[in-house]
Amino acid sequence: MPHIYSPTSESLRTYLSTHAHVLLALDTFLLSLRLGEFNNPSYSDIPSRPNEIPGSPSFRATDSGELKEEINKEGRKVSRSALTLKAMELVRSIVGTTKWTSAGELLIILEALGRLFHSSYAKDPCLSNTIRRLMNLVRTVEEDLKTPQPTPGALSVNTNLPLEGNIVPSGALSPPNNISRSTSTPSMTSAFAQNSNNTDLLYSNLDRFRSDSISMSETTTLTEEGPPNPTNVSGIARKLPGYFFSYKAEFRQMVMEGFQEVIDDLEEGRREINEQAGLHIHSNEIILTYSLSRTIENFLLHAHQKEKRQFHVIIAEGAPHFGGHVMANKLSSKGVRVTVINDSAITALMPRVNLLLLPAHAILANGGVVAPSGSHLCALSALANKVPTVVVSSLTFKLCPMYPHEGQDIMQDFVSPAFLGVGSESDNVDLICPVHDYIPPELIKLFITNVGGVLPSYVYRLLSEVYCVEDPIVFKG
Amino acid sequence: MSTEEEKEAEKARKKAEKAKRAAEFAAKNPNGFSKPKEKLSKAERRAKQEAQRAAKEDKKIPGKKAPTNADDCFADGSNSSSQETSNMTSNNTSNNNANMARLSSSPQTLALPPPILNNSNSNRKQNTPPRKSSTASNLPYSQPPSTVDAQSLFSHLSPPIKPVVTKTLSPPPQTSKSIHPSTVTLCNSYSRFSITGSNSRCIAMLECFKKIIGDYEPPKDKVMSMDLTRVLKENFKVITESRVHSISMGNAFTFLKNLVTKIKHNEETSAAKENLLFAIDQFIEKTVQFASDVIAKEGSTKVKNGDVILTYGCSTSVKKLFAKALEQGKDFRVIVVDGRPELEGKEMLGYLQELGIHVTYVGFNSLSYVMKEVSLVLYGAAALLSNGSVVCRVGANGVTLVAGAYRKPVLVCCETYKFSKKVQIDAITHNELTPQPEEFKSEPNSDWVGVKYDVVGEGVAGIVTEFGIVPTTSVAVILREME
Repeated sequence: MPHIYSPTSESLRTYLSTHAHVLLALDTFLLSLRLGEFNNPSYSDIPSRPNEIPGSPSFRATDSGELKEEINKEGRKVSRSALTLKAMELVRSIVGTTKWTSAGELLIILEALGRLFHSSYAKDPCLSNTIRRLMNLVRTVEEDLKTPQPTPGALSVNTNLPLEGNIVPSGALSPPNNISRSTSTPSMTSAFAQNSNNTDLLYSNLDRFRSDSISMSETTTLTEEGPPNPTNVSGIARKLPGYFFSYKAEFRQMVMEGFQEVIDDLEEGRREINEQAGLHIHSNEIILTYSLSRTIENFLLHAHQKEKRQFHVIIAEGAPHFGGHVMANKLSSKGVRVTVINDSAITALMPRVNLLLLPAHAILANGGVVAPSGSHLCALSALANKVPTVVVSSLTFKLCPMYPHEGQDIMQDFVSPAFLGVGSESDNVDLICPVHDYIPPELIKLFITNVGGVLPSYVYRLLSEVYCVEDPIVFKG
Repeated sequence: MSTEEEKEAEKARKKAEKAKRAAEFAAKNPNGFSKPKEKLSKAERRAKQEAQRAAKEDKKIPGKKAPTNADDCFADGSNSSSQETSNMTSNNTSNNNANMARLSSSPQTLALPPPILNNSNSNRKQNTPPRKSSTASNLPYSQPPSTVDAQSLFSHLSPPIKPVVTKTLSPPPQTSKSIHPSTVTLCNSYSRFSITGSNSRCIAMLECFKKIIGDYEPPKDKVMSMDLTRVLKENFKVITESRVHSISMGNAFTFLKNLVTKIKHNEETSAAKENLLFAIDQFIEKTVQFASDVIAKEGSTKVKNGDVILTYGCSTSVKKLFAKALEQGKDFRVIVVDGRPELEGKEMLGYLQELGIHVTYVGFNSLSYVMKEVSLVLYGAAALLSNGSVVCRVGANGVTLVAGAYRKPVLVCCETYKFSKKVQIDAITHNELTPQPEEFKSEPNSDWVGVKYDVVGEGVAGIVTEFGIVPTTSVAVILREME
């Protein structure tokens, strides 16, 4: 049974070598990422794309049939939530089919996946965020198992004590205070109470002591190919406490349930956002929105169809991609009154607008937002006219733990300047076509998220709920 | 004392008139919709609110669903004529729409049954002809549209001119005698947008007037100053109909009119014409062209070595300024921000490339991205209003806002002949509409609004004029000085 000790691509591949179909699915997914099939999904609905990459290559494995189909069916119309869902399902199949033994090992697998995703698709934080979320989930489940309901008496603990002492091979290495400390933790009792299997107990106790003892090599040599533990691993798992590497029977099931919850969250997120539509849109409102966003589209449609609100949407066309035209057609076909304007006319119309709705590519730790380029101007104009700027976004995969000043800060990306429609052979001319804008938190009045309305100043707090500080902010190998 | 008494009397008279008008209005319009909100008395407001409340409660009772106003029964939007109706009704209430809409909050989802509330006259309204055949001002009453309509915000403006290449303008029959052929040619080039930009349009108009004056022969029985004024006015009116005149054109026309009225009775026709033509040439040369040269010189003093200058649109004086600064041996580069629908930046890009200046060309969406590296923002204005507002190409307000967010100085180039006594605080009250672009396909529920000008109220550090660089607040002072 192979184990994984380090979160590198090679070790993950070695680890997955016995599960050919999973490895194939992973590679297919990474290939799609690298081929840019998920590039700039916010612009994927552009009617005419000047430099279209020819259709998905035919050498793709049959495994990717479903993925390929989706891309072909809609022609690059893969939304970010679909991408995240795809990644989540892949991760679930890897985690569900392979034979990892402990939370620590699972974390290594996840970190390795995070690194792979990051190296294939660094421009979009949604994959890293999902992995980070799953890692936090694993940690939480493990912590929960470590500290279950405190068992009533200390008596049982005492009866366990000698057993532990006997089992530890190099008992002398572990000082008495160590033992008493470990026994005082309810995890020991829980392990005892729930695991009738002695070998499991042995393992968990061994691991416990290993993590505390200094000379580990002697014991690890006994199990060269044994399960990972804090000393023979690399990456974030090195910092994990020893009990992360102990086997717990119910852990796998709990983690898989947690994964399903995260997936449900992804699918339900939009519904939870939409449910708030009635709270924010009143009758006869003029709402301005920028370019194309599925979240905002659904939000507005919900307000129109379910909440029966009559309102008027002004859509800035979002040149040079003209996502606004697509958005206008989508909304108007469902009966929402829309008016499309040039981006340059945003400031001219803003004095008559009641509400500015903006999409988010990513929400940063300080409450700032990475949004389609051009939306910064919308937010500035709204502020100048005291129009509330509301960012409608799911937090499930857009919430990022980084601040805008850290390294790759605002995830800027560029597309071909062919969009500008200016051909120049001259060296004296630069053509730039950025994809994102960073909107600082002071321009944002409110976030409408799947966890309710959130102030920009509260975003950092949400971070600590969904991510663990010890997990990497950027998955770099 | 007597004057005060007069004032009092005047006041009383006005008050009486007002009351009379209000009474008339109330008689015509029992719902009181077409007047702004402030005009309603407290009691009226309360009455209306109660009516609405009653209407709402009616709705709550199933089977007795009654929309609050006539437009509601069309509100499902599938009926395009209803849309037009609502557009039309909104015509002369456009500015009140937002206010009125708040008052008449009415969820309109039900097409049936027809309204049964106290709007007998609004039932009649459904039969009013569609927008094209009727202008809003002809309507005796009006009601708020079922939904606030962004396009209706602009329904007080004339519909956008679609540049038609083959369009030939036939002069109105009753005045055709006074309309000069060159006016027709000019009108065609205006409406085709082959002549754009406030300077070029102004010069083209003056050249046209020169031809008119050159060919003008005063009728025997008429005074030249009076008759020529009439002729010029008629021509100007036709020109204005082809495309709304710019403030530069308006100012130039006022200047010309003043000259014409100063022609003495005894002055010989040929001499008077000579004088006029000379004065027009002087105006073009000094007030328009020389002014922009001076502006270029003044403005170039603000260009330093290593500067990154962001410009928007394609202003003649800004172009001259760049050329001047280059001539002075200054080392700078330019970021051309371009915005639809005009995309004038392409012309600027071409010009700067010819000059050999390093250019970065970006779309309007990249404003915030490029603004960080900018050291000076520079663009030209179409007009300056006496309240300090800068009228310029649509999008310039956005450029100014982003520049302000990054604390970058904004200089606006504007000749003083474009200064106007008018005031405007937003770009909606007065503007020019642009036609719907071809890429955008409108559907039953979607439409397009495009405006030509922006009004920049704040954020401009200085205006570069031929009198030096002054703050926007000095416009009124300069106007006064120029008189």
